[in-house]
Amino acid sequence: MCRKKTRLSDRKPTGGASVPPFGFGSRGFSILEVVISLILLGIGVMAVGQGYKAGRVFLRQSDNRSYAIGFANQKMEEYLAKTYEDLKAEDFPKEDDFPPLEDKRIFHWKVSVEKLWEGDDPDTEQREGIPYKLITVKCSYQDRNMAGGVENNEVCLINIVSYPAIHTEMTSVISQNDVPCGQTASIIITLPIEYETDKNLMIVYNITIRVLDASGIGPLDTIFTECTLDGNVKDIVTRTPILMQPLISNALGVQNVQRDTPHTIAVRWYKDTAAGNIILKEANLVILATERK
Amino acid sequence: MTLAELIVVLALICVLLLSVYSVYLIFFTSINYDTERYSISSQVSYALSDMKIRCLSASKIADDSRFSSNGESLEVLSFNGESDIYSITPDDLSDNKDYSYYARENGDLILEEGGGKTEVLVEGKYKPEVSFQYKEGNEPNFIIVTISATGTRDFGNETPKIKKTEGIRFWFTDVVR
Repeated sequence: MCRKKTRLSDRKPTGGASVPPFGFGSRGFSILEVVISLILLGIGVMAVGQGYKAGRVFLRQSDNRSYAIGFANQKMEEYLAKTYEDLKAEDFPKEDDFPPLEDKRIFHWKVSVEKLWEGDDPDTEQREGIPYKLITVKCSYQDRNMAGGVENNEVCLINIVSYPAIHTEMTSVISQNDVPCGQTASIIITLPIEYETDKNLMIVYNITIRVLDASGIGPLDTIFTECTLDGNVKDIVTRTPILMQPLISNALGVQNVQRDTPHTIAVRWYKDTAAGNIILKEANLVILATERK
Repeated sequence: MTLAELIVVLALICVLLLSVYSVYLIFFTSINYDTERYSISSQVSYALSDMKIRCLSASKIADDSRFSSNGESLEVLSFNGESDIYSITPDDLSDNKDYSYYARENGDLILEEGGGKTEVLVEGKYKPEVSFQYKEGNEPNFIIVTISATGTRDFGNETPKIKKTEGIRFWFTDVVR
């Protein structure tokens, strides 16, 4: 006869005494329950661990992106500080690494500049709009992804430097040239100009003369000054009595100066008498060029 | 209770304790680390933003804050600029103020306004260091500002460190001697 072995916990209470549910004498967990619990716990821990790891990766990626935007912004400001003329498209692209961070992270920058025209008709060869320089700053860096692999990322910033709406030019000359007599005017001062848009010009010139010998010069004897654009006299010829005004000043406007063509502004003079000896002391020429609407 | 049950219980208790400790170590430490890092980062960003927007309308740079044209790095930047940075009047200097950015003796990175009023931009406990740098070849109205700061605590051989740079343009004055 075989006797069945029983554990203490399997024995039924006698005498109607109750057994506390989880105390000594109660049924424990079976090995299956423990294994299932451990598996569930393991899955939970792994899920939390993965979430934590993903959080770290995203934080790191966010940090890298933040640095890249900061570096790109710094580079963009550096190039926005330059003038339209200094940003020559042919000098670009330029690229280099920023100084590495303390943890050896490296960020690489690349700047390109392209000349474009706002309002340009893309179907024609003529570039009729307002030119501008398009600055593109890219900052590239390496990120680690969730799988532990390395991926290349990049941030890109774009901005423009437009062609100046107003230009000012100035030149001056000090010389000993004398004033020619008769209708053949001689050039005192010249200023070459060339703009990328059609311009209206405001031209101002000032001339100081020195009368070395006033003998024979009458009160009505006159110095004539004129301003030319590409050899053509613009506006009026100014008459200035020699003995009464040692300073000659004039201002004139010139409309619609064609773009993309070299022009020369010149100031010329002559006098209507052969008497006396008059020379130039100093002259200056100021041009204010505004965009033609 | 059998010996096997006792061992399983002990093992489970150990696993539980280790788990709790790991959770504390990993989560709370990293939360504290990230909180401090964020705090430093936001203060440094605020300081850089303040400099960028205030320097924009500066009308005069103090003589001891002017840079050599060969490139130079300074730790103090003093200038005269608009008292209201959102109302820029370069032709009217009567509403201007003197400003200085520097790290004072207790370590705070501050903005000092004319009249002795100061604003702490980065707290001294983060040991902020600031440098204003002009690089040879750059435009005379452009400088690079670098602020670095370090956390107060060591989180498992790692201390939060932040180093940010910003390019700053001056619209109405040059910074080069």
